[in-house]
Amino acid sequence: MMSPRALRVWFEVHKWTSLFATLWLLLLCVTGLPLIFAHEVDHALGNSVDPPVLAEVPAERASVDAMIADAQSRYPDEHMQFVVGDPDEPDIVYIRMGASPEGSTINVFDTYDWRTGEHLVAYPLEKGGFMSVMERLHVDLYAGLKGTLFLGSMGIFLVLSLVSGVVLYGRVMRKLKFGTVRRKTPRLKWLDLHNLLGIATLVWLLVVGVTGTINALAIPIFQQWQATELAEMTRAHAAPDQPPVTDLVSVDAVIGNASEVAPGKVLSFLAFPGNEFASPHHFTAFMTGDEARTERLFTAILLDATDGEVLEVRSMPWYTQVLFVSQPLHFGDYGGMPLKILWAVLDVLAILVLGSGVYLWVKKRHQTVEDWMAAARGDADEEGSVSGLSHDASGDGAAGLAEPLRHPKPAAP
Amino acid sequence: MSRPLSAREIWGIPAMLGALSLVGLVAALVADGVGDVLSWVALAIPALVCLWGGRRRSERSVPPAVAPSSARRAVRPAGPPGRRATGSSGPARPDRGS
Repeated sequence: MMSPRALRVWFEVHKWTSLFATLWLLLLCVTGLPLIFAHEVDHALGNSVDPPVLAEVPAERASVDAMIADAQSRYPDEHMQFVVGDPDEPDIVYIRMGASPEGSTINVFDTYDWRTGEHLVAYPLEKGGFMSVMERLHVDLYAGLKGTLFLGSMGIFLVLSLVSGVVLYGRVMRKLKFGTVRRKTPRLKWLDLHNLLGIATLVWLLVVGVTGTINALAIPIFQQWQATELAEMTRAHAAPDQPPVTDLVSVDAVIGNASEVAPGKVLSFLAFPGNEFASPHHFTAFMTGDEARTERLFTAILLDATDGEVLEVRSMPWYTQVLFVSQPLHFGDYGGMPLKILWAVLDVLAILVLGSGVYLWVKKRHQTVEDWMAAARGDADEEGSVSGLSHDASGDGAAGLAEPLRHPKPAAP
Repeated sequence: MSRPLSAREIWGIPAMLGALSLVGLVAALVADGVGDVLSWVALAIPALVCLWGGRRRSERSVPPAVAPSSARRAVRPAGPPGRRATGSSGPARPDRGS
């Protein structure tokens, strides 16, 4: 049985972690809501398209080299960064370019039809608008990596808040049947709803919170991979005395060679020489499976930039795999529209848990653990009278709560 | 009802909802088709339980040891943020005692 001291500690942990993080968690929940449907919004706005239905599908895939040439003629000042595939949409290829090959900024994100080579749409990256504001507020608060890490750290507070919330739930529900919502006062009603909604959405919120924190660590995670595994691979096949390769081998040949050594896998993305996911002398192709079970299992293939030869094949280490699995679990984009709707519903419920938590606190800012227990049991009135405390003395160990009532408040008139 | 509930009575349903959430989160990740449907069903249950709690009218509290001041309560503002979305149906329905 939990000692009163332990209960008091949990109570304070719940109060302070929640108070500290609630504003930011509310921001994340509210901005995350439209982001669940980012794909649909992009479609509706014409920023992305489905591949057109063709009367006759060509037997051979169109040349990616030709697409790159087309993109390069559209954007002569931009540098190739990535060719990106989509395991869920094999007829689409994205061409990503930036001011430099490194890949830190994206200026071009154009969609091509992999069957015909036709340019389908250019994503309006500079347009901004509502969704981009939501995304920035959700991802980095317009403060770059610092902002991302700050928001990511909220996951730690969320976990503390949820764990302490569960402990308090166990205590407060000792005499209440699951799902009880008392309506004696608005505050009591919202206390019960806070408990019910919190415990029912607990595991979802925990998973979305923790995976959000992991996603916030994407940049350090990739930097770790680049500094260790990628550096090892490129060093083993280095040509340090050679200038960076400018006359690149055919990208179609590169993709073909990579596919050959990764049977059953499709292109996720191809990093161009000079990119931080490759090297000045190498391409790196990232291949994944094309069904749910294997879609998150990446293989990295290092290829020579001058002749397209496969130099090394490696599966990605555990920490990047954790990141790859965390992405869908945070976005909710892996089970069709019904899953997205459920994500939205659960997100709204989380907003209610956060909002009701603030409400409960605002109504009683100076509440002690004793007041809280009394109110939770329903044997104190709204003013937090603790006069009913001894009433619980029959409970197993609950008597401990009658222990030092350090801030007894006068009972209501 | 002043008898303390057993651990099973307190944690049975929350544990079940947690397990369902986990199944729902993982199923669509590891299998298309059937996995997707399993995810929808499993994750819908905790969400529906919340909506049910928001609609339901019940009074199961331990009788108060001290009569609360009703005059005081009457002047309380009625609602915290977001009450609309829980589907709280306003005035209590007396027929929903269970």
